[in-house]
Amino acid sequence: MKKNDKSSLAAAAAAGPKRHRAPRWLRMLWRSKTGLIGFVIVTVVLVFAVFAPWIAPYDPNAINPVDMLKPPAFMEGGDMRYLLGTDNLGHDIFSRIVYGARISMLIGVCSVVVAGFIGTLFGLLAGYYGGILDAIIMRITDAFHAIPRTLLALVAVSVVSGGSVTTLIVVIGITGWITYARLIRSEVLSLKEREFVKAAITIGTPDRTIILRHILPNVFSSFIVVSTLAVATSILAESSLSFLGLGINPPNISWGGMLSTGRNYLATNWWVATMPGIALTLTVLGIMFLGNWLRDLLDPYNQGLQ
Amino acid sequence: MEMQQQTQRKEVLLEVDHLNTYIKTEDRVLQPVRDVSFQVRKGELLGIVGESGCGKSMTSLSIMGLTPKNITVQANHLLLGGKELTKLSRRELREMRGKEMAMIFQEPLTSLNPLFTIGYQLTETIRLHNQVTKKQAWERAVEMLKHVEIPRPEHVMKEYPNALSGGMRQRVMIAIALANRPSLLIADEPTTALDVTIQAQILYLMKQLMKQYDTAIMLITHDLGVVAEVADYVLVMYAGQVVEEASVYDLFRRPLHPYTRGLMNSTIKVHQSEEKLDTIEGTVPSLADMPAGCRFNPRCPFATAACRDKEPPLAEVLPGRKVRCIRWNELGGEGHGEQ
Repeated sequence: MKKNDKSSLAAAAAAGPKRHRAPRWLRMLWRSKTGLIGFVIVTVVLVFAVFAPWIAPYDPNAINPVDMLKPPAFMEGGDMRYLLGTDNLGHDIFSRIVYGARISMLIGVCSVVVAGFIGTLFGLLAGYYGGILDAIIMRITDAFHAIPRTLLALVAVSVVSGGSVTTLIVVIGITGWITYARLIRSEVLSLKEREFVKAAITIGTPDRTIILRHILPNVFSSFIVVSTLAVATSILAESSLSFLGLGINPPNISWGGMLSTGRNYLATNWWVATMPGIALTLTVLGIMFLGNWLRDLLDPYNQGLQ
Repeated sequence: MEMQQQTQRKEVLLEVDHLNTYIKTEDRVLQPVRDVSFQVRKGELLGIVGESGCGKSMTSLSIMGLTPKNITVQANHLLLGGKELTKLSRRELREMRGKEMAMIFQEPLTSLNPLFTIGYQLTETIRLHNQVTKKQAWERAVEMLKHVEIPRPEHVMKEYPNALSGGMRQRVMIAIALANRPSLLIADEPTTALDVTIQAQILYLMKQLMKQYDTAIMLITHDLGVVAEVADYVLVMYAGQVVEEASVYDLFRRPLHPYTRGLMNSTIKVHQSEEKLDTIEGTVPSLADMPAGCRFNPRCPFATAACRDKEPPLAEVLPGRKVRCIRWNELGGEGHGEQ
């Protein structure tokens, strides 16, 4: 199918009715190399997160004093048993990265759901009703905007004496809603002036129906794109908090926490910090790639082209 | 002749009495619609004609209660079927829309939600004001599509708007607007964005449906040809005011206001021998800078000192004919316009 797609495109077109043609999203994915890379990375991370106990060769919290600070398998002195080496307590780094994907994905996705829900709600209200409501909501987002997000999250986590996954989801979610509120508001402002919304009003459609049927579905594609990118940002936010010791506490494993441990061994045993760092970087990069590709996929101006 | 036209008019459906709209700006209050009064009668097609910016659309939006937030609407009466529209709550007004009055717009290409099928949008409209099952609504929707002469309605019901042409979409919009049998349909330049051949079809269709559904239509247009084609009665607006009101027959036989005459002279006629088309000199004055006296005086070839001095009233000068011009009698003598 892979080769088929490019070479026999003209033939397929000539043949008339579409037979054996992959769905549009798949064809577009194949065509966009970065999209494909992103898709593969995100899939791998998701598989890690879901099937961690089956993939990880060791218990990630098993302390093994005999095998402390072993270098990765491909290095001199490396041990084939520990693919990416071990840390100061003899934890298998690969197993920890696999388990760390769970926390990253869980917090990344859930906090985006929280942020997306709050932000969309306020964005719809502000954009549709305008006036004083709009002014109030927008001033609140301005206030949020004025404070760096990490700082805000730091303060919030310390206030609720953090550590739990739920706390992190809520805190990262709440500090992230403004992006949605602003995006959705601006989309609603332009959609409100569109003829089909006006036409719906002239036949007596109630506000609720207009918002839910005519406006919300039309902001969906921007919502998805921003959400994807927001997952990446949230994962970074979680890692930063964990790195600073205010995020996930042991025995839960977070890439940020691993980085924090590895920092002390950077000069002598670089892999302890570098491996989770690479995992984090690749994941964020993969999500960004996927987001860019989704934007192209969902862009209505692209619909006509293949 | 004029008497005869008068007596044939039917029961009043919409009564607009001294409609004014105001826009508050930083330093002053502008008035896009000024003292507009007219009536739409049952089963009648009223054409409202005028250049861009003369207040046509603002008038219709005021009736629908859809003026932008910064605009204040005032009227002695806005009566539709005996209900005072200005006194209705937001909710009551919303319930009137679609059921008692509906509106179609200029742009059929963007008037349908691109994400839902025609069938979905049409059945939702029907279910909005009627307690019917989905199946019943679906059947009524197919029926509506047949009425607006869409071929293969069952098939079109399952299509998304992008699969239809502009003319087809405007037919669907008409079907949606008429789905709940409103007594008044406001059509704001419904054919402007369409091909000329399609224009005539749509106009004919509207006229036909008007009879079938016993709906009155308020047709807003800048095209006198359209008015001549379908209107029963005509309102000519200029700079926010009504300048002439007459039956379509009287108006085209003998336009009384210099502006109406100007409009007629600036349409292309088949037997026109001159190379150059007559135009009305100048442009519609801006809201912020209305001339004193008659608002048309700076562009009027017949303006006198008296015209610049005092604003002329809209007077019923002949039975069933109103004109806002003090010199109509001197000027409107000779026959003008199309036969």
